[in-house]
Amino acid sequence: MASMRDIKRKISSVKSTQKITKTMYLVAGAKLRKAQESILQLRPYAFRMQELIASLALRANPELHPLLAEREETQNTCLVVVTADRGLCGAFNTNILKRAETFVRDEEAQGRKVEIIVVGNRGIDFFSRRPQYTVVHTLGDIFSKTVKYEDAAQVADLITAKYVNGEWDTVSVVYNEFKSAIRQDVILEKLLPIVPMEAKEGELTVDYIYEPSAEEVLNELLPLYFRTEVYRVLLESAASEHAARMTAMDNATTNAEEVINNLTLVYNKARQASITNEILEVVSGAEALNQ
Amino acid sequence: MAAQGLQLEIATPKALAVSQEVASVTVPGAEGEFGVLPNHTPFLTPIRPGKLSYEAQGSKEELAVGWGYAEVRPDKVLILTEFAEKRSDIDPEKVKAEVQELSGKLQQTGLSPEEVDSIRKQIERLQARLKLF
Repeated sequence: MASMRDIKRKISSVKSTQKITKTMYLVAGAKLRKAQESILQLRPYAFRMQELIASLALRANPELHPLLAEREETQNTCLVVVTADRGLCGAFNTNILKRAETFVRDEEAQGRKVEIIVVGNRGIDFFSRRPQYTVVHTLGDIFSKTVKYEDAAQVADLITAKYVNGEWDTVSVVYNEFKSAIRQDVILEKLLPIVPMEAKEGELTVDYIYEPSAEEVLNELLPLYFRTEVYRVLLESAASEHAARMTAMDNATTNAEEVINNLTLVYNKARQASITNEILEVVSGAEALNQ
Repeated sequence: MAAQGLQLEIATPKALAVSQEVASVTVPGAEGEFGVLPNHTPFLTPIRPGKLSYEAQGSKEELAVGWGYAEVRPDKVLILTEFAEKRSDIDPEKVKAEVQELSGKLQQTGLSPEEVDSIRKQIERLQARLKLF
């Protein structure tokens, strides 16, 4: 049996770990509130924008803009993988990376080439240790503060440029969608080409009248849409990350509590055993003198 | 087309400012102000800062909006813009002071064309708010 001193040392080490997890839990909670607020504010705008673009894709002539046109042959795919900058958030990063690997395997089985854009330090680490994947762009250290729109715009513009000049035929993204503080879903979404919305029953899908001209409107609107979309994905991921960390740290704190309880029990048993031993010694010593 | 009503939705990056059935809408389009009634032909245009007004249940409402886009469908008008503020959200004195300050900035020499452009745009945003008064 471990000595009482060893057990005591163990208890105090678990206690200090518990202090850390508790603090991380509180910090993640505060950050989550902020991140949640920004994603909930942006969502109505982003979803209306999606609606507008889907409606536009239904009506407009796909030849008007390269972001609308579906290509006949899809040879090259781009996958945007959104992970967190830091760990200690449960299965958050693992889930994303697993999903990304499955996607790449499926695509390659169909003879397509996949190039990857990684967001978040965790993902960057992961892919730098796996040379079998082609990583074309990385973006790290963006989640420490509130995600900046400029960061999203930069990635979005890079993707648009490569898509327009034909390097990629489709672009997908895999990220954690923020459902609630206790639930985040791994989502794989197709970003490009833009998917048209289903026509309503009996609706005539006539093209818009554009002012000033279709070209001018689409040239500005579609990149704006795409930037908003990327920004939304990053905000979703940020909120999910904090939520996941909160849950993970809450579990860790509970587990630490349990370990402390068990160790205290063992410690008390050891203490009792040693007291019993001492009494036995005293009693048997006295008995020996009596005889 | 069975739909008779006209749904108006105004979304900004901060919130969904308006979502309701209206009788008519007047929008500050980039190529001039335009009005929309139900069963309008599909129409897509950028909008510029200005006064947006709509009529619902007999009363007329006014909002100041920023740069953005307007999509018109027979049964729906969708406005995506930087901001949409009611008269009660705006402090005209403060806005006027800001316009003054920015106009002063424009007089300075050594501004890059981008800076001038962004200041002008900001002034237009502020002036759109003042149009409600």
